[in-house]
Amino acid sequence: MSVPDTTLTPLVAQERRLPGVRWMRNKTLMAGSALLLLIVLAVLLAPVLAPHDPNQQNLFDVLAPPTAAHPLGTDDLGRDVWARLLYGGRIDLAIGVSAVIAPFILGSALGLLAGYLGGWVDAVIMRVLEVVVAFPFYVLIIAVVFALGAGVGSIFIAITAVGWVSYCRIVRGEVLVAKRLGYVEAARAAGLSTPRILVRHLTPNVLTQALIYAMSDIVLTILAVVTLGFLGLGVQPPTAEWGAMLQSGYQYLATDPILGTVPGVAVVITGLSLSLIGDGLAAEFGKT
Amino acid sequence: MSTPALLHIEGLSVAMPGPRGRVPVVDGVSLDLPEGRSLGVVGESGSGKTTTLRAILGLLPPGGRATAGRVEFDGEDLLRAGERRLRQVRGGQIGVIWQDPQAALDPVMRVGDQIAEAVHAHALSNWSVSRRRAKELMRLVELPDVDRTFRTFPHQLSGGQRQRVVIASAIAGNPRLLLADEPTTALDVTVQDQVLSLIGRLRADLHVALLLVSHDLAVVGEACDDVAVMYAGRVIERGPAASVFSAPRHYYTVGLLAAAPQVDRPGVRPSSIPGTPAVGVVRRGCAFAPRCPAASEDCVAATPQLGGEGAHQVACHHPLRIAAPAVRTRARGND
Amino acid sequence: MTELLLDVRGLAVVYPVRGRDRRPVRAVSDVSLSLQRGETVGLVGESGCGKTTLARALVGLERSTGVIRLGGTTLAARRTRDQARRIQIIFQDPYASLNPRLSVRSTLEEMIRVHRLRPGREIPRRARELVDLVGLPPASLEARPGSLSGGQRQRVAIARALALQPDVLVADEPTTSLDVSVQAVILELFARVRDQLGLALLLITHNLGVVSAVCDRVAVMYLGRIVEAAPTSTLLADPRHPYTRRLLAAVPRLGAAARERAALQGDPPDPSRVPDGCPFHPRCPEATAYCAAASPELSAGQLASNGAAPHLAACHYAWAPPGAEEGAP
Repeated sequence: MSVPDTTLTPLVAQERRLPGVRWMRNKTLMAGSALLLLIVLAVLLAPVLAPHDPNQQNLFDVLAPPTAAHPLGTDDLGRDVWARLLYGGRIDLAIGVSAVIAPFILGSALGLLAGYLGGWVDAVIMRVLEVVVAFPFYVLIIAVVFALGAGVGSIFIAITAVGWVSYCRIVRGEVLVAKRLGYVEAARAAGLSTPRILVRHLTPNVLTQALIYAMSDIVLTILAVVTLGFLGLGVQPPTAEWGAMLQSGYQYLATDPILGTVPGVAVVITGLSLSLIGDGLAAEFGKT
Repeated sequence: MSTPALLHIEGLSVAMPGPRGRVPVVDGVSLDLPEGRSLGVVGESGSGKTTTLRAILGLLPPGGRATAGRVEFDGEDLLRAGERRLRQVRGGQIGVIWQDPQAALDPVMRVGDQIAEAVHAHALSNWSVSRRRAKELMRLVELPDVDRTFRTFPHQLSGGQRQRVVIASAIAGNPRLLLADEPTTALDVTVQDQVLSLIGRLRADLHVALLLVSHDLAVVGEACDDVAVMYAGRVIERGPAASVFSAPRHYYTVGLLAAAPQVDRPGVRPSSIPGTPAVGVVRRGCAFAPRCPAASEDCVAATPQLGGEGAHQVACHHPLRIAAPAVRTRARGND
Repeated sequence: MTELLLDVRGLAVVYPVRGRDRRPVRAVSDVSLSLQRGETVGLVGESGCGKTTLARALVGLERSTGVIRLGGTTLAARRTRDQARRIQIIFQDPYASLNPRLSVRSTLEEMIRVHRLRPGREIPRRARELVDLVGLPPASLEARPGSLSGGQRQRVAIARALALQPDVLVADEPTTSLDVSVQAVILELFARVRDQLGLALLLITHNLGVVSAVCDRVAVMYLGRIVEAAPTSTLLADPRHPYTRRLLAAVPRLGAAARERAALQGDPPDPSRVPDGCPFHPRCPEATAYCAAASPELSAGQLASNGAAPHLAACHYAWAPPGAEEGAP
């Protein structure tokens, strides 16, 4: 008579708790999330926190030092820096996050196919990838934006065309490992179709690394947007945007440092929060 | 006791970090290993046998700590020795053979150099002397074509050859004690046979004591003079291997013997031990009680201690008195 | 007689140009075997012998040449879903066998659903049946693999294989990663399930003790070939191939008389360098010049009596000792 295994190991009781509870114990993740939440709330509540119109020029009050009315002073056209920071943040964050979505999806899908199918599919995708990777990131981005004409739309296209490669490589690597694991082979042996295996079994297990990378990619994307803005190739004036602020502010660094540094600090803090989230996720996903 | 044991472990307890603070994994283990003899420690996963071996040399994973007891090697308590002293002992007077030879060797260093490095660390000599000694050791462990093999990298060798390299490194410091943690588990059976022969031969020639940790009862039965059976962090039975395996007195040992499939008994289905293996140390009472056919109330109330006349001891409130229908005693063969 | 569920003829698996000499690696060469309903057949060998490759080829995970017949149907190179369903595999590593993100229920129900083995509303009940069959409590259905022990995971893997209602189960070292006491439980489970469901079981292992305990017949593999095959008790009592003899001699025994040590010299061979003639001859202490020249075929010692499986061995001198005459036996 076979012995039934009627007592599940004590671990089962622990696992029943929702994953959310476990995530709350992760200090890095919590710190990063809190910081990001703060930033997002700040930019969303811009109308409340910064009553001035960010585009309102006041040529009688240019480059003013911080006062009660203008907590960070005014810029070279008399506009309120604090308002421009918050409203500009909306643009940078929005583009940063949304511009990552397309490369994430495209790159992960291609990585999945290349890794699982192998053969000529893999060969073709990898060759294209190698060509893209051969160029320095910014050179390509700037070239594409320049060719398409400055503007938000071009930024999206440029970042997607260049940014997919990292996701592709990451996911492909994960798939190469995962496809040898027992449960994937069991699915194959059971006659499950390739699309089903890819979607049901591989994707949820290989995307974790790509997701973690996406966090730092958002930072890189924001940097790219800011850089393009600084070069005058990104979001066009008079729209408030951190890169444009840096552009107008760096000339006055000696006399009015606030203008040129504050946008940079904002980028750093945002980047820090996303890094912490990425690290926290890495730690969470690391525990199987 | 006539001569003091070379290795005398007394009341060793070890705790490892867990999700909620430290968890005891070894509880009050006492073992004795006289000079030149061999002791096998058997048990399943979670029994604490590997942790015990690692604790001897202070090689516990990060966060692990010996919380009680003494580990006396030639009179000196290693648990209280500093890291520097331990480093002298490791690879020197005490050699270690690990389970996975691939993981134990540096993949980017030639094997000859690795052995020479082991020699060099424990002898005051120059490199050319160390290298010559390394080649001698390679001959001793019967590696083929020593001059050529000296210059190979681990991945160019087979599993059995890699394990020989590991053994050569282990004996490089002229140890008096060899610790072996499942040294043949990762090897094919014919290779395991060769490696066990080699270890046996080296032991006899170099008069080295051996502490062998394994889950394979037959390997321990052949290679060891004495055996200690561990369950849930405690030693529940110990004594001469022949006696323990032919006339086990603890119900867990009986169960273990019945569960191991034997080549010599075709068609005999291995029988399982009811219940699930204990996870970690049970604070009070016998850890095996939930699964034991002879369990009674005192089994749950009081922790049984090792006891019995003579060398064969058992930690049980109602140990078996007569020989259980297990294996016949065998004459100690050539080893 | 009992039904023939699996019939393999001349199976070969060749990996192109992978070996160091850039010669193709013949992982499996010309293997033929058969399984009848209710049988457990063991396949033993050491590293590089091709037993795992053979297992994978049987369930369609490797490309192979030769004929595989499942209950009368010859399997094509691309199997239909129903053909794939009928032969299932259980892997060695219980920790990689299950999708870590799916609950046991999801894993099992997916199999049932994809193969339409039950109408939708009966699927949950079937999942409960399966879990019961392998001796797990119903609560385990909601568990994720992360909460299960090695032995429990193996049970789930078995349940998943059985969910497809296969005729043949291939188990590749199913208990090697498990503790001895758990191994005994899983082996019992295999036997019970085999009898209850009328399956044939191909058990691949390097552990001769396991083979001895649970297999009706055994085949020994070396360098991609079957070198000996016989009913288990016959093989253990009267091994005819020199490799089999050495393999048996190398197994450590409890309570047996002192055995010959270091039965076989050298290491298990590299499958990219198959020698000419008999694959075992470089290591065989009884090899003759003829062995180096001609590769032996599996031959039977005598005609099998009373329907018992024949005893086959691929050695020139399996049935007649050398020395009578050098050269062709």
